[in-house]
Amino acid sequence: MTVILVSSDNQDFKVDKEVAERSILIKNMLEDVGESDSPIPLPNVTAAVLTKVIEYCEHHRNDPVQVPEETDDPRKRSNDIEEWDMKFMQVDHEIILAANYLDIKPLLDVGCKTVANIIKGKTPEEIRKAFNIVNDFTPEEEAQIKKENEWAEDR
Amino acid sequence: MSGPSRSSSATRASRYREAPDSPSPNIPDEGYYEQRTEAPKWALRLSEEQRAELAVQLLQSVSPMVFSRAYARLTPLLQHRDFLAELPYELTVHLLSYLDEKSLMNVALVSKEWNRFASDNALWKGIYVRHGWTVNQDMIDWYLKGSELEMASILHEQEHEQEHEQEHEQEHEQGHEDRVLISARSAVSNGKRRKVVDIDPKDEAAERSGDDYDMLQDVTAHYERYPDEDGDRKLQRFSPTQLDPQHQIDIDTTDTLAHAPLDPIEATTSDSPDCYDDASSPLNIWALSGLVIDDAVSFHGSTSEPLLFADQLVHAITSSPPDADIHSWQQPYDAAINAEEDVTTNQPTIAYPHPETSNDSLFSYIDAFQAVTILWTSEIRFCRPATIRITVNCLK
Repeated sequence: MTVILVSSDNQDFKVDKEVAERSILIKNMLEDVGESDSPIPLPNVTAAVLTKVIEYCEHHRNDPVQVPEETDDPRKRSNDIEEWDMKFMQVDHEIILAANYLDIKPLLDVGCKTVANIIKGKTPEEIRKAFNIVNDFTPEEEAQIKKENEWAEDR
Repeated sequence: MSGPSRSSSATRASRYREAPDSPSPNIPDEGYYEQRTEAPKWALRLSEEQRAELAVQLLQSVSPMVFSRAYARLTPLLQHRDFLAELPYELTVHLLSYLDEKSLMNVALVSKEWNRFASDNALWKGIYVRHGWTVNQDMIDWYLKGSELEMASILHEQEHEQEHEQEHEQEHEQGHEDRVLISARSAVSNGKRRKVVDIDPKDEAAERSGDDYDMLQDVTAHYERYPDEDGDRKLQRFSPTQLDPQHQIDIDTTDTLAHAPLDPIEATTSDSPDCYDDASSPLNIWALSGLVIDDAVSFHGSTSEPLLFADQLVHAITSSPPDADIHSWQQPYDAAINAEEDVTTNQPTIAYPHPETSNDSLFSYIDAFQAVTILWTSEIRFCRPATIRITVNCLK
């Protein structure tokens, strides 16, 4: 059984129901509507992004559904990204936004971890470069924050 | 599913495809129809470089006026493209929650906006929990209730500052250099009294370099070994699974003292931080503070006397059983509150004696340990600058 997803720019995507239901949003929608063939409009997702999201869902179609246990995970790790996901994931906030909107938790997490990994181990200046950000601190403000953060320095 | 319905859906779908730009009865009418120019399909199939090249070529073909309009639209995309700022706040926080504290510190230095993200309360609470510290809501409620009764008996720090120092000198002269002294001053309802709790360390130098995780394992091991009638409740407070072997606790010795501020009194006067400005609040209590010294020799004579809170904590837990009376609970609470006032400029230290030296009060240590975590949940005011570095010295 397939469902038709319509991107914000009106492109149709024919997807296996099983794949589409990786998205909790769509899964719930299908459950609410019941048996229906009407295309599902996704007004927040462009075709380019939806293509990627579907690619992800196809690859992970057989993954066990994630149990929502992560809330009190004692340690959050960001170094457990699958190799495929790593290649798949380019830093793209649109993917993260789409994953959030479509409620695909694993994809959201992979996206966030990827970005977190970019931040990790970088100096503030390197982070600015990587994310194209202008330093809007005055030297005094910067010194103040550094002072507050001193305790973390020797760790 | 029935045949007709499938075919109708197919027609509708094909209509989407064929005429995306023309209003059709099947497209839901949202009250307006936006005329838009879409890139041709074939162009979307090009590689990113090809598309960029195409765009440049197209732009070169237009008049300077139109080009400058297009340029004006493009520049902000480049200059203000701020990855985190473009995400909804919750997502930003979720993303940052994968970072360790060190990385978060760097994030805080990137820009004002990023600093705001990195200061998020939930993030730091998460880090705190990941370090294995837990929170006991019952106990927090208990403290909060108790503090009202205790209000009248609080002493002001400054009155005793001098006396305090003198006593430490005495301790020094009495030849306690090779022992760990924990000076605890206790506040009693009608006067001032000071106590020196001498926790009997056998070989502090050797043990201090020991494994902090071992200490906690000891704690939990004992914990499980001696369940009492409400053992279940206590185990809940400090579940071994919440311990993280890798970043448990800092072991820090005199290093901590070096970080102490030069003027510690500032930090603990009752009116300094703005978080307890409501005079009627039970939280508006004068800070009790004293000293925790893990090395009497090196500490003695230092002008930068760190005002630390844990002496009350240690005093309270070594001098009375946990549930003895409300006053003994008050002290850890005061200490904890004091710590929160203190932390913006100070690095509090708790020096716990090794649990093995005093099995009786083992539970008390754990309770006291968790008392500190009140800071994180009391919904007072907490953000990154109030991050506490708790130092546990393993003393045997």
